[in-house]
Amino acid sequence: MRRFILRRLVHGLLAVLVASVVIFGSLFLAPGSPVTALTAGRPVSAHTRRLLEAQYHLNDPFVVQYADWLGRAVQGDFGTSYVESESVSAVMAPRVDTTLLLVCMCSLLILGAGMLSGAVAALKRGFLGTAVVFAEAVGLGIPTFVASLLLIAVFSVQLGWFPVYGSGSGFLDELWHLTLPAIALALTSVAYIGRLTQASVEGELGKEHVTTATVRGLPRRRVIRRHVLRNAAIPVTTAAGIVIAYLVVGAAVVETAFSLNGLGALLVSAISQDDFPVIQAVSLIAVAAFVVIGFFVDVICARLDPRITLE
Amino acid sequence: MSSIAAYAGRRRRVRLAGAGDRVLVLCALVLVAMAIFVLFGSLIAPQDPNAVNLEIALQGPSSAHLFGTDATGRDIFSRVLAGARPSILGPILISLGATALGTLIGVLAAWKRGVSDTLLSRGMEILFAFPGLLLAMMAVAILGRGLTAPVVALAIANTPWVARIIRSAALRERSLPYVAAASVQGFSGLTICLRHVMPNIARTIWAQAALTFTYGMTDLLAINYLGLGVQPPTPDWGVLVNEGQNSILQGAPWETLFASVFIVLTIVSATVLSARLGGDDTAGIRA
Repeated sequence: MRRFILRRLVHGLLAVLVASVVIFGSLFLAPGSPVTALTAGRPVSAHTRRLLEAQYHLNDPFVVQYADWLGRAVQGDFGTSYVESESVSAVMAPRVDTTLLLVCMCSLLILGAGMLSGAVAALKRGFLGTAVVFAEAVGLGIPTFVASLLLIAVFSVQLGWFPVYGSGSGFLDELWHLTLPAIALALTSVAYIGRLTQASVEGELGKEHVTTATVRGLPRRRVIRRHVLRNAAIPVTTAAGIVIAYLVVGAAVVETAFSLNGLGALLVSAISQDDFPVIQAVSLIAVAAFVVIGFFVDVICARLDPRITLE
Repeated sequence: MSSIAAYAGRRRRVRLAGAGDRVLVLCALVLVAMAIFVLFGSLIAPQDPNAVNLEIALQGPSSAHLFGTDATGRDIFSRVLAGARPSILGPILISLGATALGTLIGVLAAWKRGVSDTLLSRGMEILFAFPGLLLAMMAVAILGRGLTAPVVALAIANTPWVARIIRSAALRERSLPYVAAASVQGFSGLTICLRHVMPNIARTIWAQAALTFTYGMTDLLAINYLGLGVQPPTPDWGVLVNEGQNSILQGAPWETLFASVFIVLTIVSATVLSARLGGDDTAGIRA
């Protein structure tokens, strides 16, 4: 187990390292000089240009710039925003909470509603099962931005139950403001995890070891819990990990739709303003989140099925 | 014993798309209609999709304007029809690119095994860490707005998912006796792959193409919705949903609503088609 964890850690670190080269390198290759973004396109004297280039280390070779950037990024310093003339961390700090809360609410929805609905659809026949299957089909086909606006149209404008825009202040108010965004962001993933759980549980139900357990006379409840759900949880955990890791980026869409002050909305505005340090920082965080969650998923799966550590 | 029978029976139960072949026919009809809109949308459109008339702004559906009018009095029905082309051609390009590349890599990895297989899967693992939407946004940051950057990025982002499914399908195929038989007869690996393996996994490839289309569409329209892709006044469906956002607050959700209906109809139809082609409807679902 320890060797397994160690190997996964090394894999994860390597993945983040390669991803950081991709993120930094691709934006480094972008045509046009960062000076244009820094001066918002206004013409500047050669002197000012040289000063800016020196201040932002724009003339160093790629490897030096990259090493410098990564070294600071590890310590939480992502450089200075081209647009806000503040440090990137200062620009991001007030926005982390919103995105984190949104992602947490979404994850709870995905794990709770998704797995529950899938298990119900697989284990219960009749009306309930059919209703769940139908709801999942609809959920899978609705893109996040469409869901956001439909929710706004129905629950904020028509019924007036929820606020239309903004993140709110105070924890409870924030929860209330983030309810619709969380539902919009989670919708597709809930449906997906539901479908997967259902297929996984159904697949497990048909296996020989389950038949054997039933024939041995174990109570159904115990068969379901110990033999069906535990095995079925493995592919579902892997998929749920990927889905949740991708939420940070998906948040860009809902945060824009609901005018929330989050990291995703920051990414979108940074892209439209060519604010490269911010783009690099948010992208790196998104990819790092993927790798970290992937690591925990692997550990959970290894606990569920110890054979995994042997591969 | 009865519970065993119940378990066994349950597995056979019809799944969602399941409601029978009627659903499939319906989905095929929707996709044919969309194809017609892609080809002739601007011709069928009863009015000029970009003709502004502020006097009739934000009207609800009527006989004159089937889907109502937008904030500048443009006919929404005409705009939605004209928008089929940019909204559907982009995802088709993404699907073609990702399916071609993914099939090539998948079959190659399954056939060669060894080092090239390991290298490919390591490279793909890195790519998995980049959600399609992030890759598309980074591409826009580098290459600028428009359709090209996000389409290329999304094709690349979807490639590993296709490659993974194709690789396992090709691996299964490879272990079958007919491949060994062909090999003994002296056929080259290339011939066996092209003439025998690929035709046998064609259904899987088509299912992946249809599925990639739906994911490409979801992400590409999201990019357009965010204002990073196709620019107004091109009536792309993602752009329409965005443009309608302010009208929602004024009690006229028509533009967003009707564009959304077209988006959801297209995606659901392609998903059902993919599930039918691929047999297992959860095999290739991506995050």
